[in-house]
Amino acid sequence: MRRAGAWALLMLAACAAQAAAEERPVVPPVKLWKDVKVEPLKDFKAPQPERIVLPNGLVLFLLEDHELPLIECAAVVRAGRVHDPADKVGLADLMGDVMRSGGSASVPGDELDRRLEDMAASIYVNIGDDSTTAGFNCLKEDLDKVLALCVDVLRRPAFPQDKLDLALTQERTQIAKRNDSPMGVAWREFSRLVNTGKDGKPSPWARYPQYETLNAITREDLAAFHAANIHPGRMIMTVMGDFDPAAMREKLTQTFGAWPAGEKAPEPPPVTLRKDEKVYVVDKPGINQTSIVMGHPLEIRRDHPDLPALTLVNEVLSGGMSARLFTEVRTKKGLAYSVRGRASANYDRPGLFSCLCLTRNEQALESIEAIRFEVKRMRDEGVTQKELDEAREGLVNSFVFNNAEPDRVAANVRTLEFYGYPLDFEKKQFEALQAVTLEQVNKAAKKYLDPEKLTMLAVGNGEALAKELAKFGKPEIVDIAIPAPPRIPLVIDPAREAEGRKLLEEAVAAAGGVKAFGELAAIRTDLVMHVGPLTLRTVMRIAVPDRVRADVAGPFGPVTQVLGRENAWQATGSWVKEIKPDEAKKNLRALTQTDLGVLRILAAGKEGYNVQALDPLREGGRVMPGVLVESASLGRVKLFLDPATKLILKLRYTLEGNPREYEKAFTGHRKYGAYTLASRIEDNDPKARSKVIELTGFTPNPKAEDALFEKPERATPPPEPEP
Amino acid sequence: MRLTACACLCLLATFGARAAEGEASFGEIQKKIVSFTLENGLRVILYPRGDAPVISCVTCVKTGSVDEGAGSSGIAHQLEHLAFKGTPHIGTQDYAAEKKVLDEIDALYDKILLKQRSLLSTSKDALLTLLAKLSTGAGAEPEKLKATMAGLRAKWAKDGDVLADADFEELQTLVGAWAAKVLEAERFVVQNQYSNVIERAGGTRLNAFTSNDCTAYLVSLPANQLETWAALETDRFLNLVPRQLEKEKQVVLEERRMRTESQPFGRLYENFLTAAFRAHPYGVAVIGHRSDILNYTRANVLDFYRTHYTSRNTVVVIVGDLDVEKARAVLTSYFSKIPDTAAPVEPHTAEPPQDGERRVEVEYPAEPIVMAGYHIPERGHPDTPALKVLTELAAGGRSSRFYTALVKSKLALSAGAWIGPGERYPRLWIATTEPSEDSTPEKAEAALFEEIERLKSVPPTREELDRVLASYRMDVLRKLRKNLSLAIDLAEYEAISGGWRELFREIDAVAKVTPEQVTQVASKYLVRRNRTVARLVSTEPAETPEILGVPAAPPAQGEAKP
Repeated sequence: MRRAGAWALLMLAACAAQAAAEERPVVPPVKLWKDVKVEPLKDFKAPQPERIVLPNGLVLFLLEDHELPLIECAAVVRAGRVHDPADKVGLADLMGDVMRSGGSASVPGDELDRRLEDMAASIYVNIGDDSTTAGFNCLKEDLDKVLALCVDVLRRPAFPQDKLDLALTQERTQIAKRNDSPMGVAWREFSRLVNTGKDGKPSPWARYPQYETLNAITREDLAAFHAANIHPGRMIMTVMGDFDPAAMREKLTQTFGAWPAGEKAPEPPPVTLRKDEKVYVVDKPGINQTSIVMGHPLEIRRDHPDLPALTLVNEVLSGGMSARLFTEVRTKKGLAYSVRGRASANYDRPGLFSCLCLTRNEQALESIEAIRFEVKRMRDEGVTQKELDEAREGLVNSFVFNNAEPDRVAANVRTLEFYGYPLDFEKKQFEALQAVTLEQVNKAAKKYLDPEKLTMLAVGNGEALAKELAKFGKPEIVDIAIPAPPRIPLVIDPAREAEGRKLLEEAVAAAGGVKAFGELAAIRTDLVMHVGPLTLRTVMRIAVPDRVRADVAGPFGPVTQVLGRENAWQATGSWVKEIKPDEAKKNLRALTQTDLGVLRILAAGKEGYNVQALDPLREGGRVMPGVLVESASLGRVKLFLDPATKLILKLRYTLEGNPREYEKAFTGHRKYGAYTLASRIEDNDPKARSKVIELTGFTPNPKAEDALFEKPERATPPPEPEP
Repeated sequence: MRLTACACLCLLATFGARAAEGEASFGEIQKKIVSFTLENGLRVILYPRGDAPVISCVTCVKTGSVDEGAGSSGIAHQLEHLAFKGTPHIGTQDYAAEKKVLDEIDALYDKILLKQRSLLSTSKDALLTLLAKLSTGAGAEPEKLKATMAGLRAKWAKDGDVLADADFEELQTLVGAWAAKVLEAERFVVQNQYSNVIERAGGTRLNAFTSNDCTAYLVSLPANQLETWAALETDRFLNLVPRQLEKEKQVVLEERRMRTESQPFGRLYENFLTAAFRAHPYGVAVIGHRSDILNYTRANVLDFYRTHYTSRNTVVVIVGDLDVEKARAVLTSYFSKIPDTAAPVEPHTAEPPQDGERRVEVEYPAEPIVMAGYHIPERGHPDTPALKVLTELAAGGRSSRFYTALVKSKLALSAGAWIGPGERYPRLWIATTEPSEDSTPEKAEAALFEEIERLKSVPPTREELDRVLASYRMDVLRKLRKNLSLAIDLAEYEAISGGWRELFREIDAVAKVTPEQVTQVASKYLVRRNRTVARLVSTEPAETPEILGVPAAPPAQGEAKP
C-alpha cells in the first residue's frame, strides 16, 4: 500500500515548480579569457644567496630580504631516521625532540620555551629520513639572543631524563594512534611493501618505532647520536632575512668558526625496492572508504637526462586539476575526491611511481582498474603533441614560482648543496624541459611506467575487499596490529619479596582469610552494571575454578553467556551461538581482574607466585602500600591496599597484546558473611567509557547445578535476588 | 637598490612588532593596501608587494553553509565544486546545443524526483545514487538498468512502498531517458577546461574552500595574467553553468567520506557541533548531510548561486607584484559587470541559551579525543578581544597553560583551544585534548577543566599577556610574507570579519585587554551549563559494551526491524 497521500504529491509539485530556475540571459564578460592579450612577463632575476665556506667545513648561504624585520635560519646535516640502529628505531626522532624540549644545561627546556615565546621566536629540530634540520625564526632585533639560544641547543643539548620520558610518552601515544587515519596507514604500509629490506629485516627507509625499540633507548643513546652527527663539517646553513650581509658573515664566523668539524657523514643505507604485480589488503573495519595506493620503483635519479621527459609524462598523467587521472577518475567517473599520481625521483637514490585514490569500498576494483588503464594508456600510447604543448606551457609559465619566495630559494640551495648538485641545477632542468621532444616523452613513458608490475594496496573493509579484488587472486592480508612490548622478566629483590608476601597475606586475611576463600566451591554474585547510559542487572554464577554463567537483563531482552568446560556460548531470546575459545579465555581472564578473583587465586595457593613489594601509591592524601604478583592465571598485576585495613583498593593489570596498564578501583567495602569485598568496582578503561559494577549480593557455595553450565537453549533473565 | 633597502628599513622601524604606545600597528603596511568599492558594491583590495612577478588572486563570497537552510545542507560547497565546471564560454564545445539537452535533463530529473520523494522507504535515496552512477556512463545498458531498477522496486516494496506496474514502468522510462540525455550532454563538455586554462597560464595552488561563513576561490598566477584571471573569474560569477552535477555529487560524497566519516577527528567534530547547536545552522556540517547532497537539483544550485553570488556579497583581493592603477582599471572594468542585485537575507535563527551541560559520545575504532565547547558571541562583540587573549593564554605555545598542565605533565599528547566554527554569528570557544598513553580520557578531561577553572581564578601575569601580544604580532608579520595566505586573510576579514583593517586592528584591541577582562570573560562564558562535551570513545567496530566478558546488549544478527 502506498503511504504517501495525494496532497503530499501536490505540495511536492509546487516545490518543484518553484525550484525551476528562471532563464537568465548570458552576460559576456568584458573580454573572454581567450581574447585577453597577455604581456610578456617582466624579467626577473631571482635573488642569489651568497655562499661562504668556513674553515671547519660549514657551508653558509646568506640571503638578504629586507621586506620585513625577520630572520630565519635553517641548518641541515646528513643524519636521520635511516641511521637509527635496528633495535632502537625512533632514536633520531627522540633525539630531535629532546634536543629542543630539554634545552641546555644553562637554559633548561621550560626556560627556553618561555624565553623564546617572550620574543615570539622559535627554535626547531626536524628529523627526516636522511637528514636533520635545525634552525630558528625571530625578529631581527632579537637575533643575538635567539642565535645564542640556538647555538646552545645545537651544540650543548642537555637531554634531561624527564624530557626523554615525556618524549617517550608522546611517541608511545603516536604508536597507539598510528592506525587511526586510513590514509596514514595506506602510505606507511605501501612504503613498507615496496621497500623490501635485506635478510628479512625491514628496510631502514621504511621502519617505524615499536614499543620495544622505544624501550631500548636511553638518554646516553640520544647524546651519542647527537655527538656523532651534529657537526659543522657536514652542515649546510641558510640564513635569510633582514640583515647586513657583512655583519652577518662576521657574526656567524665568530659563532660557528671554532666548532670542530667532526667526523665524516655516514653514508645512508642502500635502498632496496620490490617490483611485482601483487594486491595487498589491510583490514580496517568501521570505515566506509578504501584508501588505495599503487605504484612501483622508479630507477631514475634527478640528474638523469630522461628526467625532463619523465616530468612531462607526470604532468600529463597527474599534474593537476586537468591532468588525465583527475579528469578520468574524478571528473568523468566520479570515483574519488582525492586521486593523485606522482613519478618522484630522488637526488641520490631510486624513486617511486605511485598513485593514490580514495573511494568507497564497493568501487575499489573499478578505481584500481581505472588508474591502471590510464597508466597503461600512457605507456602504450604516450601523449599527444597538444597534451605535451599544454603541459609544457603550464610548467614554463609557472617556473617563476620556483624562486618567487626567498624561503623557497633558501630551501632549494640547501637541498642542492646537501646532495652535491650544482646550484644552477633547476635552471638547467628548466632549459632541458623546454627542449624535450614528443618522441622523448613517449620513450620515457615506455621506459619508466610498468602497469603490469604495480604493487597495489587497499586499506578498508578486509572481507569486502578480498571479494572485490578477487580477480587479482587471493590478496595478501597485511597485518597492522601493533606489537605489544615483550614483558620484561621480573628481577626479584629478596627484601621486597618478603615485604610483598606479608602484604598479600594481610590482604587475604583482611578479606576473610585463606580458609574462607579456600572453601569456595561455587559462588553467586548479584551485580548491577553501569555502562555508559545502560544499567544492567546481572547474576553471575561461578563453579570454581573455571565455569561461569552470567544472566544479564539487557535493554533488548535477556542475554546469557556460559563458559563451560569445553565450549562457551552466548544466547539471546532468539539465538544461541558459540563463543570462540580466544574470546572465552579473555572473558574468563576478566574474572580474575576483580578483588574476589585475585583473592580466590591467592588463597588457593596452587600456583607459583612471583611477588615483590612496590613503592606505595600516593593518591588523595592516602599512602597505599603496593605489591606486584605474577602467576599463571593472574598474569602480572599490581595491588594497592588500604594502609589501615589492608583491603584491596586498586588493581592494575595489563592485557595480552596491549602495552597499556588498566586500573580498577574498589570502594564501599562490605561484609558478605565471612567475606569483606568491595561493593563498587570502578573500571577505568583508559580508552573506552568507564564502567561501574555494584555488587548487590554475594552468596558463597549456593547449590551448584551442573546444568547451568551446559549449552543454553535461549537466554534467561537473571533470577531474582536470593533472600 | 641600496636605497630601497634603506627606505624599507626606516619604514619598518615604525611598524616593528613592538609598536609604540598609541600607534596603530603595521601603520605603514596599512597605508600600502589599497581598497575601493565598485559602483555595484563589490569590494576590491590590492596590496603590491614582493619583487617576483607573481600575484595571488582571491575571490571571497560572504556565503557559507550558514546560508543554506534546511534540506539544502552542503549546497554552498557543492556550488563551489561546480564553479570549476565552466560557463557558456568555457567547458563546452557548443553551448546552445548543450543548453537544450541540459533543459531536457532538468525536466526529466524533476519528474523523477517527484516520484522519488513520494516514497517513504529508507532506501529511496538509492535511486539518486543510481542516477549518479548512470551519469558516469556505468550501468546504463538496458538489461542492466532493468535489473537494477527491479532490485530497487523490491527493496522499496519491503518497506511498504509498493509501486503499481504502470507507475514503475513510467519511472523506469524516465530514468532511462534521463541517463541517455546525461550522456548526450556529456559529449559537449570540454573536461576541466577552466583548470586547464589556469594551469597553462602558469597558475599554481588553484583551489577553493567553503566554510560556515564564506566561500573563497584562490589561485596564484604570473603577474601578467591578471586580466586573464579577471576574464575567467567574472565569467563564472556571471554565467556559471552547473554541468556534471550528478557526478560531482559522488565526488563530494567521497570528500565527505574522507574528511568526516573515515577520520576520527572529523567524526567527532561533526557530532560535537550538532550537539552544541540545536537551532543555529553552525550545527550543520559544511559539507552537508549525505541525503541532502544527493537531493539537490541544478535549479537549486543555480538559485543559490544567483541569490548569494552578488556583487555586494563579494570581495576580490590581489596581492603581489602589481601596478595599483593598472590593476584598479582592469578589475573595475571587469567586475563592474556583475549586476547589483539585492543582498541575500541573512539567516535569522538564533541559538537559544543552553540549559545545561550536553555530552555526546562517538564510538569509533580510534584512540580517544576529548572536545569541549562553550557558547560565546559573534566576532563583532566587545568581549571578543579578551576571548582571543584567553585562547592564546590557554593554548598558544609550549609555555601556555594547557600545554604545561596537560602535555608537559604527560597527561596528553596535545591540548588546544580555538574559536569556531565561524565568525559571523555566536559561536564556540573550544578546548580539545588527546589523552596520552599514560593517561585516560577522564584524567585528561579533568585536567582540562581544572585549567579552564584556573583561567577564571588566576588572571594572566604581565609576562603572559606580553607573550600573547608578541605572538599575535608575529603571526601577522609572518602572514605578510606570503601572497596567497595574506590574500585569503584580507579577503576573509573583509567579507566576514568587519573589514580587512581588522587584521591589524585586532592587535591593538588585544593589546588593550586587561588581566581582569580575561578572567571576566572566562567566568562569564566558560561555565558548565554553557558547555558541550564530546568524546571519541574507542570501540572496536560493531562491538557491544561488555563487562566481565559479558555483552550488555546482543549484537545485531540479520536485519534490524524498526
